[in-house]
Amino acid sequence: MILLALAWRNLLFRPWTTLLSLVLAALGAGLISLILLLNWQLEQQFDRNLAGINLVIGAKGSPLQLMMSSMYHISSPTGNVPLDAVKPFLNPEHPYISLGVPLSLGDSYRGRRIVGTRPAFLELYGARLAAGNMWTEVMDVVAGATAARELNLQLGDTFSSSHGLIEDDDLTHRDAPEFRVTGVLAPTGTVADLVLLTPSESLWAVHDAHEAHGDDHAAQPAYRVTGPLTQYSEKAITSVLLRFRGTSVAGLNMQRSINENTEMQAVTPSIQLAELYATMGQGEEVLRQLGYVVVGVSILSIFIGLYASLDRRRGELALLRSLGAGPGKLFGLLLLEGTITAAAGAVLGLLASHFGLFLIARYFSETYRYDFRALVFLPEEGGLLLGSLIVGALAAAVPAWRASRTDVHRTLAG
Amino acid sequence: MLESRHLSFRYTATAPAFRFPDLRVAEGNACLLLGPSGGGKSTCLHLLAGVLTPETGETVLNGTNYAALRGAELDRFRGRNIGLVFQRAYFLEALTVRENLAIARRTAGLPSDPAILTATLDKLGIGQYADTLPGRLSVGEQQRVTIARALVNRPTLILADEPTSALDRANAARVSQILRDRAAELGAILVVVTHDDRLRKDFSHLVEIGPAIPATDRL
Repeated sequence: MILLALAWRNLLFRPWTTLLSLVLAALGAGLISLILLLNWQLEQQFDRNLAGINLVIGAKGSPLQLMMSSMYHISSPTGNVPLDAVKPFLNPEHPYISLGVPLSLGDSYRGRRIVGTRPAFLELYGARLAAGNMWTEVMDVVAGATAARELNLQLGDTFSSSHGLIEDDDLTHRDAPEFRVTGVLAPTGTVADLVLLTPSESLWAVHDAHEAHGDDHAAQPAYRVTGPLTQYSEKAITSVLLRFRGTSVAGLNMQRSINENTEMQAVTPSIQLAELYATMGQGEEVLRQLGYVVVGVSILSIFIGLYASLDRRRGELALLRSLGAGPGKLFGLLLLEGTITAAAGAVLGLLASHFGLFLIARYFSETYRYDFRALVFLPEEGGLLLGSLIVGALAAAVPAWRASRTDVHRTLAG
Repeated sequence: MLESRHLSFRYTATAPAFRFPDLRVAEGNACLLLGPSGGGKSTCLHLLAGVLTPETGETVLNGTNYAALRGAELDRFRGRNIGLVFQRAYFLEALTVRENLAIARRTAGLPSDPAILTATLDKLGIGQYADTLPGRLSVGEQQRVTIARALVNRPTLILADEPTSALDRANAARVSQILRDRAAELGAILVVVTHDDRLRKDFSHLVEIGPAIPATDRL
C-alpha cells in the first residue's frame, strides 16, 4: 500500500513524462479496443439480422447492394423484378422453400423505410404485435418498435410517404392516399424494429395515385391485402427473402439457375457477409497493426521515462534503502510506476474508445437508423487491461532491476 | 551501548584495507569521528550504519551484532534502530516534509502517528513546513528536515555524515546543537563523522580517523 501511494505520487511529481506515456498507452489500447468493439457490433447487427435467410432474389446489379438494401435496409435497391417471375418462390407449397417473404421498397417516412410485404415478414424476424392489429386494408401500417418510438407514431396516426430514403418535402407523395398506423411491434433487436411495414399493395397504390394525377376519371385498382400476393399479375416488387427447408443442394442449384437463366439475381447472404468481413478485415488488420505499433511506442516511452529518471532519483532510492526498504521494494516501486502508467493509459483508452463508439453509434443511428450500444463491454477488453499490466511491468522491469541494485554507500557518500 | 571491534573494509579484493579504531559509546553519549577527506570516515559511518558489510570485525548495538545480519533482517534492524543524517539532504521529492517523515516510520514498520510527526517537526522548529515539498526549503531548513527524519523513529543510534559541511558557521553551530540536544533527549547514541573542525569544541569524545591513524583507538 505504501509503495502504491509512493508510486502514484512519483508519477504525479513528473506530470509531463507521465502524461506522454499515458497518452501513448491510451492511444494504443483505445485503437485496439475501438476496432474490437466496432467489429463486434457490426457482426452482431449483421448476424442478428441474418434471420435464417438463405437466399435473396432481386434485380440484377451489385449482390452486396441487393443484400444490404433488402436485409439491412441500408442503401438503395438494385431495381424491381416482375411479380410473375418470383411467384414460384412465394408459393407456400414449394418443396424446397419454407418461407418466402416479398419486399417492395423505395418509399420512406421521415427517413424510416416503408417496407411493402406480407405478414410472413414478422415470422422471419420473430416479431409480434405489442399494440393494435395487423393490416386489413391498403395503406395500413404496422410500425417497428424503434421507428414508432422515434417518429412518435400512435395507433390511428396518418402520414404521407416520401420517395427514396431522404427526408425531403419535395419528394413527399402529397397526391397519394395517406398511410394509417394500425399496429406497433414489440422490440425484437432486429431490423424489424427500424422499419414501417405495410402490405405491398400500399406502395403500388401510392404510385397508382401518382400516375393518375390530373386524371380525375382514372380508375383506382382495388387491392385485397389479406390474399396472397400471387393473385396479382403485371406488378413488380423489389426482392424476395427465402428460407429453405433444411440445407438443400437444391437451394444452391436454385441460386445458380436464377443467376444463369433469368433477368434476376440470387444472393446467398452468408457468402456476401463473409466477403464483406474479408474486405473489412483488411482495413481492420491495418488499424490493429497500427494499434500494436502505438502500444510498442508506449512501452518504449514508459521504459525511457523510468530509465532516464534513475540517475536523478538515485539519491532517493538509496535513501529508501537506508530507511529499511529492501531491494525488492525498490524493484516493486519502479514496477508499480510502469504498470500504473500502462493500466491508467489502458483505462483511459477504453473510455475513449467507448466515447468514440458512442459518436459512431449516433452517426449510424442518424444515417442508417441502426442502434449500436456504446455501453457494451467485451471480455477482450478485460484481456486488454490485463495485457496493459503485463506490458507496463515489462517496460519497467529493466529500470526496476537497476533501481533494486542501487549502491547505497556510493550514492549517499556523495 | 554501541561497540565496534576490529572493523576493517576493502572496496575490492586487491585494494588496501581500511582499518578503523574500535568504538565504545554508551546511551546518551556523543562521539565525533574526525579526519581528512578520503580518510575513510564515510566508510566507517556506513559500516556502523549497516550499509556496508565489514571484511572483519563486528558492530554491536545493545547486544545485537548487526554486522552479521543480512538482507531484510538487516534492513529492518537499521530502519528501527538507526537514524541517518547524510552529507547531502536527500528526500523523496514527490512527498511533503511530513510525508517524508511518515515514510521513514512506515518503511521501518512503525505506524505513521501524526502526533509524533508534528512533535518531531516542531522540536526542530520546522513545523510550519510540514506540508511543503522539501525542494522548496533552504539548505539549512532541508538539513533540519533530514535530522527530523533521522529522529522520527526514536532510534537508539543516530549517525550523522558531515552534517554541517554545507552550512555557514551559525547554521553549523545550530545543527550541531540540535543533534546533541535531541539525541540526549531520546537517550540515543550520537556518532558524527566530519572534517569540520568547527565541531571539535562541541564534543568531549573525539576519535581521529585517517590513513596514519593506528588501527585501534578505544574510547
